[in-house]
Amino acid sequence: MKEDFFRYGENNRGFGMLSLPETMADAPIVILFNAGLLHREEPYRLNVLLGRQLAELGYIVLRVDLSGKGDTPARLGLNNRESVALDWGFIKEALYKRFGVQDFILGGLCSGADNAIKLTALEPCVKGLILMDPISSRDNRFYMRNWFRKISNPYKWLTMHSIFARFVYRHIASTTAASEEMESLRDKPTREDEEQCFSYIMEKRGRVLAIFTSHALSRYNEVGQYARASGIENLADCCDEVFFPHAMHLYPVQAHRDQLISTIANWASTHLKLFQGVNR
Amino acid sequence: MELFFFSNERLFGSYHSASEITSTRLLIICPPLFDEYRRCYKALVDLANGCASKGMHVIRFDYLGTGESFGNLLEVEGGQWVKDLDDCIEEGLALTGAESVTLLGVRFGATIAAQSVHNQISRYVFWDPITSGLDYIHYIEELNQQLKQQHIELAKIYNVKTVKDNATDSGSIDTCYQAFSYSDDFKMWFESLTLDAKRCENKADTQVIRTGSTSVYENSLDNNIYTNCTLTNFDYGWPMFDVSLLSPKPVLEAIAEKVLKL
Repeated sequence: MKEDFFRYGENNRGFGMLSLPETMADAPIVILFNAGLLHREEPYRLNVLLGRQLAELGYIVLRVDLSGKGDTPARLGLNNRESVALDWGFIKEALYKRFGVQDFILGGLCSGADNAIKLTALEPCVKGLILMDPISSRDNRFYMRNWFRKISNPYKWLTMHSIFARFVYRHIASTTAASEEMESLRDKPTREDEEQCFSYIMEKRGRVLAIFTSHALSRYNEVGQYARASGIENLADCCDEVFFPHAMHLYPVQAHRDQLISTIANWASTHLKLFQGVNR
Repeated sequence: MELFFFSNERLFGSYHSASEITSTRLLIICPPLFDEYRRCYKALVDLANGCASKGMHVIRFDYLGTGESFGNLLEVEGGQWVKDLDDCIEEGLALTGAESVTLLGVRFGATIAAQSVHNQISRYVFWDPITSGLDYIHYIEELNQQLKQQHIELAKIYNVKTVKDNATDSGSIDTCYQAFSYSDDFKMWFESLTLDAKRCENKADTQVIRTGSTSVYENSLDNNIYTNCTLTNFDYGWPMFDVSLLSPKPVLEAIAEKVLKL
């Protein structure tokens, strides 16, 4: 495995880093987008270690700073969606020039996952998605599972007084939970984005890996819910879901990061043949 | 800006070329560690661009086993990061033709910068420096304990297994909850480091910028530290696990002024 620099955009204004496998022929390309406002390595070096691990398996992995993040300067006068779409055009062009025209696998944590969905919806050039804490819809039984989980947990009963106090405080002070606050800042994919994105993936017989942490608990509480609640027919056939309710959104614990990286590496290893040879 | 690898292609660096290419002054930024680096990365990019536009060559780099440099923190040996810094100074001098080097050390980056005895260092600038490796390790271990508590709590709330329950290795429960793992040798080295700004002053011009946001280190840090610039109105703090990014413009301006002054 080796690494090389990546530049894109007008006057090569954008920056990224490529992890390259020993054998480049037929190597599928994974692009990891920034998580929120963090630079391309983060959180906790996750994208660096994940990229290197996937390169060991035979993937080309690009971790890239979109405009306004990390080393890439911001674009003035554009909203987030416009800026990301413009960056994506330049990133694709630079990758095609270097590795030839082929389909991609897009991935990211939080808003990185949102961007992966929105960009996949733009045109059919993506065959795989690695979504870490994407926004999940709630299905019909979400609230029932949530309620059952609460009443069947002895710890909840023991701490009922503090739960009640928190509930009252939040209603009086009109505050929201941190995870809800963070979610409100996200430029989420629309329903149309999701439908178009997954229809392209299914047309290409691609694969989706969706991974959820405790951060998603206000919307997600059961493996299988993401595909089911999306309302997109047959999505469950191409979507693998993993749930780490014990892990935090940014994976600050090394053991959780290791678990995440090994989960993604196993998925990527299983589907390597599928993603290989997807030149269009 | 150009990206490059050096020191047998193991270390990662970013070079911001001076607006005057004939400049003989080089600034090397020694970044902070772990989560603190995440929080101030953008600020350091802005600072580097600002100093480069004012006529100074600037290099940012990552220590071995951190950032985009190769290796894993667990494999890093004690003393390695000071060698990394010296390699970076040599590489920077060769790359730019500079004659003098200013080291900007941020947090523990300042502690590392203070260990370098390279003879072309003409100035140290320290931003909220950590003066005791031992205290800093204690602080990191305290944070690991907080992580452990938060996760045990989370596991109870959601009725799921803890890391230890899922762990397949024989590591202790404390090891399982570390944000980053490091070797005992590395820890010993880390603990042994201290920053004595007065001693630095004997080697080169030394500027210390403190913002009153040094959180838990107050006791050991600063009864004796030499400080030439205190900016007290910035309550951004440095604690880990804070998701916000740091980009305190007046602090960056104060640092740039100290770095750039002739």
